[in-house]
Amino acid sequence: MTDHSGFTVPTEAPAVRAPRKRLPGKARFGLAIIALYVLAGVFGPMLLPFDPDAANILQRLRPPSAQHWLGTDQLGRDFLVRLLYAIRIDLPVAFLAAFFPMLIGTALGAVAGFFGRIPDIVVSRSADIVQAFPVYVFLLVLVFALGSGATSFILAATVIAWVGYARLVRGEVMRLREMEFVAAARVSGLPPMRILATHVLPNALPQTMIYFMSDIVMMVLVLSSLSFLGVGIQPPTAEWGRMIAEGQPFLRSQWILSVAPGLMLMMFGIALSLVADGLDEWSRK
Amino acid sequence: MTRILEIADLRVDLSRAEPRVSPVGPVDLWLDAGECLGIVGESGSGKSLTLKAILDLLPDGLTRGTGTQKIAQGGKLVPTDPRRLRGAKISMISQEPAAALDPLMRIGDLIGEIVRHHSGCSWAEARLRAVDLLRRVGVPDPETRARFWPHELSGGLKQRVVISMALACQSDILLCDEPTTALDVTIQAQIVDLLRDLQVNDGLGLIFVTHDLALIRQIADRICIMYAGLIVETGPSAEIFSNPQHPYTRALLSALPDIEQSEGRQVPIEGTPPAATAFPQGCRFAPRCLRASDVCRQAAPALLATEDAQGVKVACHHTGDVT
Repeated sequence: MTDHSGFTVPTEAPAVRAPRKRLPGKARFGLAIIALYVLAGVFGPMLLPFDPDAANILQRLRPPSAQHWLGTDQLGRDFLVRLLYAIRIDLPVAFLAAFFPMLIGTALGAVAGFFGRIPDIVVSRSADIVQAFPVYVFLLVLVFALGSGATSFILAATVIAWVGYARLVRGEVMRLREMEFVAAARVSGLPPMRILATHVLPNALPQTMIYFMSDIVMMVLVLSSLSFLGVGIQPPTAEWGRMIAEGQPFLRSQWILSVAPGLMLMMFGIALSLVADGLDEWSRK
Repeated sequence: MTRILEIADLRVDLSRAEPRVSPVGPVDLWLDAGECLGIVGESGSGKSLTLKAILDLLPDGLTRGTGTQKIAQGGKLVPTDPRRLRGAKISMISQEPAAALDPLMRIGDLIGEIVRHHSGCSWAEARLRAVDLLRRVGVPDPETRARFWPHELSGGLKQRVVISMALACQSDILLCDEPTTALDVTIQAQIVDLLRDLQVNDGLGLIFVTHDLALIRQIADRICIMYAGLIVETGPSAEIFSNPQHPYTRALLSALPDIEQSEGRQVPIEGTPPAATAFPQGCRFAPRCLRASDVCRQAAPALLATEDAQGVKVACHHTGDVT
């Protein structure tokens, strides 16, 4: 092929690919910690020969020993198995309590941002109403009304937390809607819902995922706070917040009963924050 | 030549302005099959808005005013809703090919999606057709490149992909909004060659918007010169370049550096084009025009055929006056 300058340009230019973007180290580190939690939650209780809920009053408040690595709690239950068993409660419940709001909030925010007008007014005003209440008070009231337990917690979280996703996604979609490639899709005659689903939403996804990560952290903390206050997960089920509360009277003698679940919560929060932060960096590269 | 597009009284209005403010129009346009119409004007003359209005893709705050738009359908010109023309009859390529490609989709899928939407074929077939289209627009090694992400392509290749997306719609008309501004000169020439090739060999009608006079001279069969939202002169490209009638066209051409004319110097046009909210009464070019008289400042000239140039229409009270 010859161009106007008379030079011959190579038509079979080698197809060189850009190097793949690697997830930053901190995100990998965070993911590794979360993987450890999941493995410990799934296999830990199986490997330990103790029932997390079986009380044994004669063995209560034993210090760490070869048999009970973290000692026993006020009812004589092995503390390590309860600590690990709580992963099975805290992680999935927090995940679902962030996941359902994400689904609903993303859908509503996308429709509001993309179509504007009446859908936008309905979604934005509903969000205003939900946001007018203080989060914890609203949540407490809802959980109280629905009855304590994992299901009502997830339900209550969904009613409240969709707002954050809706606002975030609405903003992102409004920004993306004006992008040239969306106009190109319109010019190509693709129907609006198709454009929203295949071109707009995928581009809003990175920000949503980052928010989702920090929302899981938030939900773990909210769940354990509610359990600490006695309206979340009910005893005897092992749950970190509940365990912190139960260990409180023994802080002087058996501080590990409150500190260990606290550390479990903290590490999980840090790990997810690292993943979110790394993901953010990665999506901007 | 068969007429494939005919637009009368096209206007772009500010959405919430009372009384009406129209940055563009009324404008009449038409296009024949396999023809290239060039729309030329300086920044803010409304050339891009005109193009966007054809597909009703105007940015927020602007609306398409009344006007009829007819498109060839089964050999007859039929009035059609601009939104229904998108992709089906008319496609568009823009100045910024990098922004026109969804960064999260492989280019093969991007083209395949459009192919699938318009033909309803399977994904596998759409992928094959996408590779064919990439080959048609001169993308080397299309099988490999179909799996590339947009950011892995150079600017010239991106613009080729954008053109292949337009071809995937199998439209009759391609609107080009300064498609070469973001590219360097050699790539520019390649893209222009490609568009020419599509126009001549596939009978694609082009409407080409640019402020690059040298480029439009090369590619356009017919030209519209726009100033302040109105067409001031229109006619065959050769005639307009050799025998310009409107003072604005003349000024525009004399502002163009000429390699053959060694002693002549470029004459700048004094002042700037007026804002849409402050269009002067009468001829909109009058405040900057050297030949403006009282009649120019009072009455807007109509776009009329002139005897001085073959096939040319001019909007000037002083056409035919000796310069």
